[in-house]
Amino acid sequence: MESIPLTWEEVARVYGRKIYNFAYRLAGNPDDAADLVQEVLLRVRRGLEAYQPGSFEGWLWRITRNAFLDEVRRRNRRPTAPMPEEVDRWGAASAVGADVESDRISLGDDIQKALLQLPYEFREAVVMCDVIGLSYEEIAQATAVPIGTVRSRIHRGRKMLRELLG
Amino acid sequence: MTHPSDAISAYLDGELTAAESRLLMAHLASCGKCVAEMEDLQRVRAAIRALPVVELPQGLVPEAEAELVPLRRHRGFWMGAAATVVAAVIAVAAMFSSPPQPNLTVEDLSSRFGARASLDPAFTPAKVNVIYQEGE
Repeated sequence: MESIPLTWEEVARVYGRKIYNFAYRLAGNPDDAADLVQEVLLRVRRGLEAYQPGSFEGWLWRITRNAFLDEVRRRNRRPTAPMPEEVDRWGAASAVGADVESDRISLGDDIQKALLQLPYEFREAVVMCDVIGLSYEEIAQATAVPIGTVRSRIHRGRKMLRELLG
Repeated sequence: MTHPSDAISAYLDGELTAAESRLLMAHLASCGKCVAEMEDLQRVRAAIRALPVVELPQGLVPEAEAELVPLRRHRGFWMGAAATVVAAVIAVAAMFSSPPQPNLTVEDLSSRFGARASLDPAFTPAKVNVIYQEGE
């Protein structure tokens, strides 16, 4: 049984990094990810009083997803098309330590670039599952689609990544 | 032959029921194509899960650095899934008195995927400037 954070500050401490990583993998750059974290926490702050006990993860990730999509719409640009320099900047901006093998960093860059080439729905499902660690049911709640659709999106997303990564 | 398609990913994620897992195992025991696909998908899945955790910029959220929170919470989940895998493989092994393919047995599948489940990077997420707890 998951415990439910009671204040937005607790939500920020417990989930801030997860939200940041979710946005980072979807958008491919740190600035958009930071903006999203702030926007999500603002919405959580507004929404916590009205929160009804249930799946907190589903509630939080629904807010996060909607905030991301709203921001994408607001900027009127596709989240699948980061500028090349943004992708390159990712390597320098990430928190990868100096002791991490260079080939691993290179592979991570390749995977990140491949992720950004996936259609949004597939990328979102894969990131929620493999980066954040949500269950299919939680992803279904967050994205408001049936579990069967989540299952299909994750599978197809991984198959696309396999093709892209060669 | 009808291939199980997205059941393979769901199996890797521990999202199949025991009955669905048994059906998939039975199919894999006679379908090299799906075994190869499972291996490919397992590699992709592991690669995504091995992506380094990106740390929050300082000051973005209050006292975030003080918290010890895992980014992923697959460990407990996968322990259960691994147990399911073992149970499913044992059940399938009992169904086949003789393997349908001379070079592929249920035991092969067990060693390939059961062992990988326990070695999945989700058990030990990339440790990049992060201190992890043993679950949430």
